Amino acid sequence: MRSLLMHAYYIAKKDLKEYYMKPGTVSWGLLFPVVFTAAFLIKRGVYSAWVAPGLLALSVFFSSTSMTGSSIVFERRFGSFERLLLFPMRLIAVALGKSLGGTLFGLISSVISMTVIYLMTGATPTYPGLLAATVVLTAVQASAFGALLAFLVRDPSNIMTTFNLVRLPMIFLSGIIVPVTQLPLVLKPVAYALPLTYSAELMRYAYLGQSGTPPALSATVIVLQAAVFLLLTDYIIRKSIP
Amino acid sequence: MTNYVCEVHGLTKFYGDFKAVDGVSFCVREGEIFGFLGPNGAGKTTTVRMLTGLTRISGGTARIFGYDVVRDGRKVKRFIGLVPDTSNLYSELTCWDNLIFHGEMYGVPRRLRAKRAEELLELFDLRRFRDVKFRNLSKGLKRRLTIAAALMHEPKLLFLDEPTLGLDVLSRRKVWGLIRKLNREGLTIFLTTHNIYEAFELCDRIAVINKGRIVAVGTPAELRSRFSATKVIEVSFSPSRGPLRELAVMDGIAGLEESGGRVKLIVQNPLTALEALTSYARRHGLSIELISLRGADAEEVFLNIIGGGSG
Repeated sequence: MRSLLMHAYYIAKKDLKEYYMKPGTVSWGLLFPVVFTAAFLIKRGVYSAWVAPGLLALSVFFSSTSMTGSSIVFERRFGSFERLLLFPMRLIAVALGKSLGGTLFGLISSVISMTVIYLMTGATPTYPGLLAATVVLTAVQASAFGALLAFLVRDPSNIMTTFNLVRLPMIFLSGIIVPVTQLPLVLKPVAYALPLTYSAELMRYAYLGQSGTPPALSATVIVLQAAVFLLLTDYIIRKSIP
Repeated sequence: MTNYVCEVHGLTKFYGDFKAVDGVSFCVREGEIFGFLGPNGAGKTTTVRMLTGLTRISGGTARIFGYDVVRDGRKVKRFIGLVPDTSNLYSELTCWDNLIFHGEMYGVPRRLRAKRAEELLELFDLRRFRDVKFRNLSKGLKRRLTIAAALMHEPKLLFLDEPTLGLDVLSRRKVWGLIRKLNREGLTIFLTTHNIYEAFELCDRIAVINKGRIVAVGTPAELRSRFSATKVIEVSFSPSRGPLRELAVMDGIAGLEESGGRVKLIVQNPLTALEALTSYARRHGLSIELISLRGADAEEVFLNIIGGGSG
């Protein structure tokens, strides 16, 4: 187990050195979430207090998926991904390592977004411990989701286009800007199937002490989704060996 | 008793209905440079990929240091290093970081990693490029660093897949020198190449593979002597040549190619071939303008071997 975690850590460390400055990672993983967050918080009031936690979830989600996506798509395109399969380790270390890299990047982004939120709204969390745990859980879940999504893209030049096809609709459907309860009936099942919905709900609870979804349910769904995404990524990596 | 570090029996690979490797069997002896020589698409890289766990095996068995490469894949990976046919280290990492990363992933103890990386940078004459990113290196330097990275964990068997592909003469000579040096220090090397000169220059033994099958195995000297009887007749006809297909199947002619108005014939028995050639010319009303007979060079020996395997 220790060896597995060490391998995952080395892969994550290498990915952070290799990809944190890639244009796609910086623009969609750091700039976009911060600018988007600032744009929605520019007008102070009740709405900004309500929307801020969702924006934090969005920042972590975009950062983590961008980082993991870049690291996998570039390496698969240029052949270096295969090098990971040469090392004497359990193959799931690859999925774990790739996700850990995205997780760490998501955590960095969360600190920036939380600072922006604090400076623009003065909002502080009701449950700081829960907020910290939610940020970590969201980063893990989003990274694993990004890893899974990355296997659908072969060309690095298409990576953010493909990712945004999936991610941008989530902004409107995951209860970040409009509460899920106010969505048209037909869209509600879609909203409850999306990974970002539960992160936004749990962060809202951590900040405001109330949310549309029970916090225990949100936390359980995030953990389960993270596990499923990781296992699916591992399965796809195994299947990709010709 | 001969110590074999790699024993392969009936190794087979299918891609769909296509048989890329067709039941190959061979053994690699401890301490040798074993060459796997063949034209592009012969199955060399697929074989290496199967032995190193990058491609699944469709049939047959392969053992490295006594361990089954499928069942004991993780154990096998501790003993082997692979330099693939493209230099695919991590482009944004420096030479140093690439080496350290490989050390970490192979479980080299922390205190030894830096020492080993220093030694390899020295050995491969890369010390002044220590802090240069991989993407900024020349092709030859990238190749050297890729080989160095595969040695971070001190493997006992190194797979080199087309190690000098695309390199200029100087870089190629440099890599050849390094391969010899590593081998002298006790490293067993499995080298794939499509370059007959490289194989003859470096290898202790060579297996020739064509269309997924091994068609000859031996030392360079054995392969040369096996085909030392092979001669080349170069001939030009007047007014022009007749049908080549007819010439190709005549007695004593093992291979044929045409270039620059001349027909080059690979022959085992020059006398029989000359008789066939004369009767061919007479039958088509041709006169022989120029004719020469010489021994086959290494490339022609290679073509003759793989030609023999194609039938």
